[in-house]
Amino acid sequence: MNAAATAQTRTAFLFLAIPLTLFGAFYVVPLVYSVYISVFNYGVFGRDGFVGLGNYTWLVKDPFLAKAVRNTAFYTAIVVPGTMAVGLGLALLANRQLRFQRFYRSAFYFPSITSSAALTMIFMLLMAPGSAGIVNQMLGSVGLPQPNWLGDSDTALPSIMVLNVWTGAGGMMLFYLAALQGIPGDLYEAAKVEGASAWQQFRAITFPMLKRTHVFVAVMGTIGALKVFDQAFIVSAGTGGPNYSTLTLTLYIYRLAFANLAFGYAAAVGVALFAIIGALLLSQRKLLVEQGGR
Amino acid sequence: MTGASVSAPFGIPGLSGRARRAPATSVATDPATIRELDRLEAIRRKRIEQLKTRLLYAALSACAAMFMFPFLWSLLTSFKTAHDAAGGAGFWPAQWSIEGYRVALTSLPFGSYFLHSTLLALAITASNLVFCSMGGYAFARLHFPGRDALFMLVLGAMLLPDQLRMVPVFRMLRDMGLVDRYESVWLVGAVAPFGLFFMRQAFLAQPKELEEAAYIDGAGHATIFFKVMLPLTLPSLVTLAILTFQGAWNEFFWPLLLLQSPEKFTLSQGLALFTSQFETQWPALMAGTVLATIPILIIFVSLQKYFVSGLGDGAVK
Amino acid sequence: MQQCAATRRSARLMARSCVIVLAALLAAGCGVAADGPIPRPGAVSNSVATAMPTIDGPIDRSSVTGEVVLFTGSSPVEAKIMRRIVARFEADHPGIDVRFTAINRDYPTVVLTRFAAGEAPDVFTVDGKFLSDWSSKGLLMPLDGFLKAEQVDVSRYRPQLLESVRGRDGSTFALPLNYSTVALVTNDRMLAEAGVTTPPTNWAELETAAARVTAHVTSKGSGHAGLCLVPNWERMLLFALQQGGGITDAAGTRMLVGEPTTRKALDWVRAMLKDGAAITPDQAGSSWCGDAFGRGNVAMALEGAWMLPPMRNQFPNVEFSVHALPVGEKAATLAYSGNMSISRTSRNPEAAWLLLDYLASPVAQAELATIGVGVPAMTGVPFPDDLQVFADGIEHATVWSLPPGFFNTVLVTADNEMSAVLEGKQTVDGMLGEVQKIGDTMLTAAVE
Repeated sequence: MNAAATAQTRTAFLFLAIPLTLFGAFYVVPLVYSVYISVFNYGVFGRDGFVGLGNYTWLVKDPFLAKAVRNTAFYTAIVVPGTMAVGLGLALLANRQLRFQRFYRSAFYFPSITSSAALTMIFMLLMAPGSAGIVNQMLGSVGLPQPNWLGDSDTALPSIMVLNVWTGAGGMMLFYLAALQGIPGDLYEAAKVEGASAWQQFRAITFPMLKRTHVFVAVMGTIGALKVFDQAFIVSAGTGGPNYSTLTLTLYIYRLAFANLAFGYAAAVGVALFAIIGALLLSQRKLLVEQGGR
Repeated sequence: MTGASVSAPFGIPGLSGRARRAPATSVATDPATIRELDRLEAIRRKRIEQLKTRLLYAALSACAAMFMFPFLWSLLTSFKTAHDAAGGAGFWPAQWSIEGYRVALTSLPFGSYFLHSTLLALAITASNLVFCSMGGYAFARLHFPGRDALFMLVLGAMLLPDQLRMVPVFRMLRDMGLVDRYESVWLVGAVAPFGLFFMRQAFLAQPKELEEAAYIDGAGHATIFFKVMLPLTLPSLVTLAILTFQGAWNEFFWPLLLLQSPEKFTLSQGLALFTSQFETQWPALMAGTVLATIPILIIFVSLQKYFVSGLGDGAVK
Repeated sequence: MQQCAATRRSARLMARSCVIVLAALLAAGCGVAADGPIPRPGAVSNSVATAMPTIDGPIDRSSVTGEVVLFTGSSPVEAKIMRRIVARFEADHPGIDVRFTAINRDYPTVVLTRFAAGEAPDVFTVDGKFLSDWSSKGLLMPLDGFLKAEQVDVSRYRPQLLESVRGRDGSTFALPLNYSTVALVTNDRMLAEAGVTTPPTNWAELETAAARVTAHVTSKGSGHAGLCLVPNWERMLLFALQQGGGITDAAGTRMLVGEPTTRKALDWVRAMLKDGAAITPDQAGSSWCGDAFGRGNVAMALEGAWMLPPMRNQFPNVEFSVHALPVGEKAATLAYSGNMSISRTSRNPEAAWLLLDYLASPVAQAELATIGVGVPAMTGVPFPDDLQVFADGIEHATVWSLPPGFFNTVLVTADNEMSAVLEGKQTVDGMLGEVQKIGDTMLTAAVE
């Protein structure tokens, strides 16, 4: 048994050597580097004095960070479940025996293949204020108010949320589609024999059988949502406006590093984010590293 | 979208599963009446099914239209004249023009950018498929000390924003003498933690029986991995390939940071050259976007059947 | 059934973890004692000791060799001309090899990453916006040694521009290549249709003209008006400057936002927007006023020479003319400058200087001016006629350069606060207080 365990460790080492080396170089090294510079007053030319935990004690007092955290939390809480639900819905639709099935699948995936910068520009055009945008033209034609979607602090972030649910759902659909292929068909046959309704089949078979995919897309989606940057950057021209409503955590980190040249403090914000979310991941490790059959 | 009006009754597994027994309240005993009632019930059900099918296709088409809109819009804009596109009015081009394509193709060395992007994206896809499936397998199926901690690190490290990775990564690649070389862009994307996570989940989802049988037959882990497990995860590998290729194809920032000679630029960098702060040449920009999107579209459509055609029925089901 | 229970458990687990994540994030977000919107002590560091290179006499051009890395934040059109100038430079200096990259997106990010990694370009574009920040952080090499040794005649430069590239200690950190002031651009047909025959020359006339056009074009629906106004501090400042105000005083040592001039300018902008005489580019469905103007949604815009290329290329049929900015208490406008610097860490400063000197030469400035987006920074250098009004504004212009930390912290805060004011979520006093406070912090940090 021991020999077998050793052999397995050796195999694992062989399998992981290259992936982990690359991963170490491009992810762990930057992480260690960030932890290191976060205890300094670190500028463009390097250390400008050791500040110990000074950067970290400032974190809790930083009102801009507070706004960024609130925006990011709100964004994550809506976008992750939203994208998952839409993605699963699309996958269920596209997994049926359909005419033009491939067409529909491709269509749902379309927003995901267009570059995010182009998409954001198109979106800004659609959501243009007054009666300039198509969305507002449609609202106007049925007598509804025409908000300044991206220019008003109440609607700017929700608009970005809609954009990202819309563009992210296709990717989620892919994961769900791949997973749906793995569900044994005989489970449904059995359920049908027992007279289960479509909804019951979904509740009892489909949804639980997709558990690993749920965990996967939820984790990936959360990590992606916590790092949302491009759209906020483009929509606000990098300022996080209007009224700080699109100031996300990564946009704030970007501003600290590349506008204020406070690389040390920017790293402290990033490390704190890593530590808090990392601790939460650890507390849920049972779910994440769960083994065995279904 | 032409599928909207199709109403042919298909066997739709989800909906036909609603087959309930005849209402228990039926008191008719006469065989003829029962037959007649059954016939009417069958017609009624068939009508309901048809209605549902129509609704389904209507919903599908509405969704498809919504999701295709941005691409369609890019496509139409690419055929507009510069003036029309700037005017913002009108969905269809007032006057069809290929000026955008002419500008896009002549103002950029499109062919060589295209080649650079293709080669880089292929290299990144290949390395991710190989390394992420190996790593994913080790995380999913092999037992070794520290495995779960390592895996948590893989997940956690993804949280570090790119904005904080730029400086150390650039510094490292500079020290390796790789700045302004394609190897640098490839190395940065060669193994994505996302791919490791994804392939681990894919291997976890496979039944253990086949593997155990092969193990009893005396096969080693390498044989099991290549001969048994990899074929089983083909749908996932194809999914990973599509996502990785597309990500690498659209990647903008790392090439911008790492490649400095204009003759080495990639397509996404080239497209960015179009947009300057005040002068937006929409038709040319969109023509470039459309041309840049087509390869992904072709890959997606042609590979689709591999991950969705109920592949490996016997083994997976 | 067991399966279901297991699923439910894991779903509960998932839900719980989500709740914990969000609770933690919210707790971190809400439990903040807001004791002032100060970005961080030391965010603006003291000026780095800037050792000037000592050069005894004119550089012997034939002895300078090596590689020079040149980065510019150029559009493709400009990059083409730059490439031509660089090719001539290389022909004139056979020992020097220039590696030129034009970057027109994420320019500061790319340049700063390279600086942080010790791989800075030798010669590079520095927008007026970044100049004080980058020079105070020690990124830029003082050029005075070269200017003196090479006996460069700086008197040909517009004095305002030269002043704007000098640091607090008087060192010259960049050479200006070109500039544009903000002027009034009018669509004369739209004005005439609304009965406005002469372009407005003061605030009152501007207001009347804008209101007339708005009244005339209301039939075209929303998104049309007389004047396009960007509701930010940068544009509001035009009016504050004309009242004798500003963000800081000319020396950059004292905040002026608390002065009545700010409020007067702000009230005027708000009134124009409220009456509908002016609209924002957002309201016109455009990303900037030039686009709204080209599309005929507004009859007037306050922009610089960067208006001209899109008007030529995208809106060739729109007839327009350019006029000096209408005056308030006095004539005033803003000037935007494009500058070129040498990095303090350059390993080949002499070659870098030769390149910079060449790029800033009158011949190169004239060539660059042919694109028609900027006026040469030197007097006596020819430029296209349609730049004339944008060029003349310099006589009473304030160059858009502010003390360190102002663009990236004070103005970002100010604009966010201003959007809150326009939405009625912040009072004018509240906004001015915030801006004053954060500006004072920056000024104190810079003086320390």
